[in-house]
Amino acid sequence: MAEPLLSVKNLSVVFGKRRHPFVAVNDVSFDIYRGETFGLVGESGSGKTTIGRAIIRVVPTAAGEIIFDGKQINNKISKALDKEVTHRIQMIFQDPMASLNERAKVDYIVSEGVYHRYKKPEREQKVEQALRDVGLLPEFASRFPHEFSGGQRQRIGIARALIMEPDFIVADEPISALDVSIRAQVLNLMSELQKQRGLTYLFISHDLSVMRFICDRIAVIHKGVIVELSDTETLFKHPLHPYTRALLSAVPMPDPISEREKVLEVYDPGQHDYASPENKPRFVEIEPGHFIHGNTSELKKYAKMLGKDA
Amino acid sequence: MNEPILSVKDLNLKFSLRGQTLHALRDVCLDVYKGESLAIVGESGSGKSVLTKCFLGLNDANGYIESGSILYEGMDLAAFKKESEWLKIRGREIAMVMQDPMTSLNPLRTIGAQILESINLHQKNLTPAQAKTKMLDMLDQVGIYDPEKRAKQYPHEFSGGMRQRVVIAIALACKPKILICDEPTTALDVTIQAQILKLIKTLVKESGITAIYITHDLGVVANVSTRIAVMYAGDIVEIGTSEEIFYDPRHPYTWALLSSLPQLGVKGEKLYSIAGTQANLFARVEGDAFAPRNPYALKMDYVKRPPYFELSPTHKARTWLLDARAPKVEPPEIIRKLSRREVDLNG
Repeated sequence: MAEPLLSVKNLSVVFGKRRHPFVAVNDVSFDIYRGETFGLVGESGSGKTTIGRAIIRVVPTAAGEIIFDGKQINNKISKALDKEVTHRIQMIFQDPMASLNERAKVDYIVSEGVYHRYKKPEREQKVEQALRDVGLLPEFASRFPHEFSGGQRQRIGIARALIMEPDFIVADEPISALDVSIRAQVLNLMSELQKQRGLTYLFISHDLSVMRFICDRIAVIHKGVIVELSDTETLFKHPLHPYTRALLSAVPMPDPISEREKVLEVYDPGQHDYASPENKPRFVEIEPGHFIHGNTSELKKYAKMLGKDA
Repeated sequence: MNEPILSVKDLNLKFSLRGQTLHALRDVCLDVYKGESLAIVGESGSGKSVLTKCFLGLNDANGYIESGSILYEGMDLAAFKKESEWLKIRGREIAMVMQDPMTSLNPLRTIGAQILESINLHQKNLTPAQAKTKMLDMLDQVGIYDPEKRAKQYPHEFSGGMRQRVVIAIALACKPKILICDEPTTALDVTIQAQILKLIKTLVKESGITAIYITHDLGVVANVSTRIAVMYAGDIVEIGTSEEIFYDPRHPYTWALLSSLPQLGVKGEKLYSIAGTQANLFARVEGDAFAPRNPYALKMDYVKRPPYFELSPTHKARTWLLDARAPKVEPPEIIRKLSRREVDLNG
């Protein structure tokens, strides 16, 4: 894990124009290294999906840079680079019921991205291979999406991303709409594919329990600002930011006794005093690999917490 | 435990679909006790929603109860035919909170009007002013600030968690005896989920309502339920108190459900997933419906359907593994870890 595959620098995304601008993502920076799974966790409306969409170039950015494999890919780029980026970055969507074209057969859904890249016999072969890779039978190519269960549909969604031979996959809540037992299948499939092909994932979710299982590093985002970023174990052991602590306390555990004694932490954004200019919050590295958002006095407090914990 | 408030006996429910019959509930027996919080857990298609919809007469018209009874306060709900009979039960005695708060509210009416509707329908002796006070009181109870102002707003002005609070207010407005929550938090964020579960839990405790939760996620119910029923292929395969289900599960399907939780998974290792697909309920099920997906299946499982084996007065499971003649089978490592945790906590 040496060089970053994707780095996001001071990214801002603003929706709406002039009179009522809405800042969805505010000055966000992070690096994603080759071969890792990077998690982005936050509640709905926090901007996590917007970041994912900015990376696949669906949403225009207001400020900052997104650098993929050494080249800037946001704002205006050349046609050739655009084509390269669309091939190399793919997305898996949340709801497999809504994201597949109901009127198209699986064969077309999966091959749509490479329809003009390969001629017919080769294309069929590619589809067959992609379906096999995700654990579906090649015969399924002639069926329609409604003939499949939720888990199988999500596999079709993954096959459609894989056929492009991407390096980087943005997975936007890929398992939130699935049953518990099928969740496990899809998570296993994703980590298997990662091992085989050295894929890099950006995993977007609101559920920290899943994140702990699959992610190497996690960024916690709240109202368009990354409040804490660290490797998974550190985040779970020494959560510093009050929002991270609230998220962690909300994770349901399959353990009735400790669950009944658990105290729910509630995050109140009003507790921060960021009004005056000398109290402006910064995003700093408080220990190696562990970044946190806060003003000077908060940072002191966090550092003290770390000293106590260690 | 005290006397049952609702008692289901040998319930069989079938759906006719394009000339075929789907056997959705197969001999379900279940007692719901007064004041308890029961969770019904299972994969989608296991019949958990169908079962609770039977209590309210909300199943589709092509579904019919073939045999069995549902006793509630001396009435047999299974024999109800007319809509007028159901209206006495629905909302007034048994209320339901649906899964998706985005679709269960009317977008064209204010929140206040929608709560008033259910109050007026079921408590006709209240004056309009009394009804309004009650409505504002309900909003306050479910934790919505400034109820006067919020009551005049429309559903789109509320966030997902707030809308679910409104739905709960509507369900509780007519003081039902039983509250059914059908996946009340699946459509919500984790932090909001924790808040809503806590809210339902306190409201249920304060008013002494019996609660029935339906969910596919065992992690969610540990916090809220006192008893858990695990359903598979239209049948309750294991039932017990939540300690018994989490710390001493006996049915292989319960093991499988627990093992597939990412909370318990070890990073870098494969998460357990249940092989195969669900039993086809169009065909006659021979033996144990879970046998084809069960790594611990015995020959007996394919021949004869297992009866309930009682493990304690509150805990029973339908698996041949508990028969005296069956070979001794150790539950998977992940389950043993859970039970050890109980020992740690107690000792």
